[in-house]
Amino acid sequence: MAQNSHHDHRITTELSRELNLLHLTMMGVGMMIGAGVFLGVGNAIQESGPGGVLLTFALNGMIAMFTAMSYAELSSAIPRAGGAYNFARIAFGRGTSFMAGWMEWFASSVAGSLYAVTFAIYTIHYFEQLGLMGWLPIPVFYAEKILGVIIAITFVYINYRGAAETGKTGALFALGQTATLAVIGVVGIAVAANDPTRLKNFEPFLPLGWSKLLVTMGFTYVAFEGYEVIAQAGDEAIEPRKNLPKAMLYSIFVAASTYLLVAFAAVVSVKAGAPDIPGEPWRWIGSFGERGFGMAVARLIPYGGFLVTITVIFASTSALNATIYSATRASYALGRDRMLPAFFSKISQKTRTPHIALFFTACIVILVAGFLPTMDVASSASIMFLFLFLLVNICVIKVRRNMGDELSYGYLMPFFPVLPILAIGIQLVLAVWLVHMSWLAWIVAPLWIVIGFTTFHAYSKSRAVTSEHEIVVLEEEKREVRGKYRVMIPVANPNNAIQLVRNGFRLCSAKNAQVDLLNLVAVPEQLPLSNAEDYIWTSREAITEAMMYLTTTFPVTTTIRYCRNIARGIISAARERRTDMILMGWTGEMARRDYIFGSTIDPVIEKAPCNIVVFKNCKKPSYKRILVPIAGGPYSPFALEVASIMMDANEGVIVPFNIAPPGGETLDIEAYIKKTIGDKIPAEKFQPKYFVSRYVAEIIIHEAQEYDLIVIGASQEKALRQLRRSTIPEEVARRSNKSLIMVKPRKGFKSLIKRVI
Amino acid sequence: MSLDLVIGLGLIVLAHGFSTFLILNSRRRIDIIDRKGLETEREIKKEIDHGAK
Repeated sequence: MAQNSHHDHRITTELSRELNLLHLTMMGVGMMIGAGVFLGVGNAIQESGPGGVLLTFALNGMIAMFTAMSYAELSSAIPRAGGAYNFARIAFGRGTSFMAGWMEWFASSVAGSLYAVTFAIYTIHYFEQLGLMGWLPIPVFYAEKILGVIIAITFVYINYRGAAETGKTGALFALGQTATLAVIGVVGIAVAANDPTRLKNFEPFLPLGWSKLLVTMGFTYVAFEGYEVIAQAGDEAIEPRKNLPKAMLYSIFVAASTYLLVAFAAVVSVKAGAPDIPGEPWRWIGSFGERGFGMAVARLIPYGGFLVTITVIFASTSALNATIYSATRASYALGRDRMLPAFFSKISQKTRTPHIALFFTACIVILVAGFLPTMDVASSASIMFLFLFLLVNICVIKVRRNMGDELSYGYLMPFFPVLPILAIGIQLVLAVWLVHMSWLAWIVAPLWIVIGFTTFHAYSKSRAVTSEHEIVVLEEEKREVRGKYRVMIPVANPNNAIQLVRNGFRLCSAKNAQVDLLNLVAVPEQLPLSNAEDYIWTSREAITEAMMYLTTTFPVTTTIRYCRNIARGIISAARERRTDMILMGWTGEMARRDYIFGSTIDPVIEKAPCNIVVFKNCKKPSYKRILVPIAGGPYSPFALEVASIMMDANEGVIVPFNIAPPGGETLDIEAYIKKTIGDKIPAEKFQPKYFVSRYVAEIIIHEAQEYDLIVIGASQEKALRQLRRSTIPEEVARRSNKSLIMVKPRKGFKSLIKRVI
Repeated sequence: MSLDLVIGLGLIVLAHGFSTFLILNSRRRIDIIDRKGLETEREIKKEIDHGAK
């Protein structure tokens, strides 16, 4: 990991940790509520009755909690991206880890198929209800299959392009989906409280007997697979030892509670004896199978059908996206370690995604979605996850027994080894009992395992390479910052590095700064951050040249930081290092209409907890005539300070320029400077200027023609910035062709809180 | 009220209640381990199983 020393001028690498406890928890929740609940409720009611569906989710939630605790314990001690693959490697060695990766690949791929099919079923059914499917020349069943394949191909392509939903965006969607389901649940409770006769829908509680529970628990278990994706985010988690285990446990609890609520709401949604409901309500809901949940909610709340369809669209596509890249990562890892042919670990030069692994994953997703009936798909996914989790429960026992005192645990489960042993037994029973739901799943899943076993012994065993990091604990280094003013120069394009460091040289000099030169490399979601170094070529030569330029004068640390998003990588680095100032360059071009400066600079200006200085068109080391538009706001003193640093020491002059509206008050510039800057800058260096006009930006741009440099404070108007509407400073920055520096000081107390927290 | 209903509701309450207990207990353990900087199994068991706060 990163080892910083500004004395030996090495280039180190680090990973950008940006996912906090909420993000991680919601990643797990988002994966879980992708499809399981939407398909599972209707089918579970059909198979086991109204009480059976509640028992299914309550008991599955408890068993999933046991496995979550095993995951949590192992992830806290081995927080490297990889999940079950890594755990099995450490517990048992190469053969078992191959089988874990092999099963994970299949399980995630088939889960992806399930999400694609769920999307198709609910979408087509909704359009059918609106009467828009009359033109269809083929039966609805085939239309669902075709749409499922199309949506799977779409998201495979999105994954190939590398445009995956980020951890943080995914967390937002998951929060929305969970909130929607929670609302449905709460409405169900309110309806039942208002009309207690609806509780009679639960009688008989288990009309088809207790044995059916084992079947429904089995095929809905896929609704609890979410901790693997949290484990895979180990190298991006903030405080992984603490947050990974918490996220896993919280995600199961949130999902299980939500499922219980919505299952209850589904059962009470239908009033017994309604004219269009022949027989018992649970039979009516169950008769629709996988669409039963949607039909029930449509009767519960106005526009319930539309609400469910929208929720399913977001939930299933989000989970589909996540499972495709999760499955791709699994096969990529096998290729990287040469347990599958090396081409599985090949990275596309264009998109930086593991495109061969993605292709094979896509084949599994599309074949299963296109050719297997829905419940066989759900059962296949469930069986494979049951086997995988069974293996993890065995691993936790083995690791604790053999290595308990060698590893550094962030969490140790209670009631060990009773809970993992219970989980192993119950998961085995559930997997076996699934044959009652789908005999086909019990052919497909074991066949896949046999193929894996054969592949390992015939191919992988003799070819697997030793990984350099058998056990890698990615510790988060807390950087002690003492004394020196820290200036960060983040560079995403190393070819611009040298110009940027030249621009910032005087500022660094004036502050007697410690300089952190940071080359940021954006890594697509399909690639674990911890592997990016092996596959992403970075322009070390250019960053080295910049480093050499600085090291003669300043203490410099040079780091390549792998991140998902450049702006977030900069902001999180500034927080970690307690940076005092960030220097950035701007070409002056607007790449997208929805940003003022760009997708990197805008968020950094808004969120970074330190001073920001943005250079545009600055090619000289110092300037003779500097124009500083000031309006008396809190950014003006910093703008004047920066101007004084950039000014030519002998012939330089600063012109503070105030433009008052007609009839408005003019700022007393001299008094303002005396109050804010005092004697730090000699008064003779200032030549105040005044103007009256309402066209402030135009006047500044016109006036600037006679100057070498403009130094201007960024806008304070956050609302306008969030609406992506430019303000006067931004207007000047965009339209003026002069050298320009835009500044934003840190915000005092608020910024201090951001830096500390 | 049928026997199935009574047993079923009891199981639901038990299962969800036990899950809640496990979450709270686990969170307490994680926080103790983090606060005291504990690392190995031995250290953690000693601290948590022998009257840690």
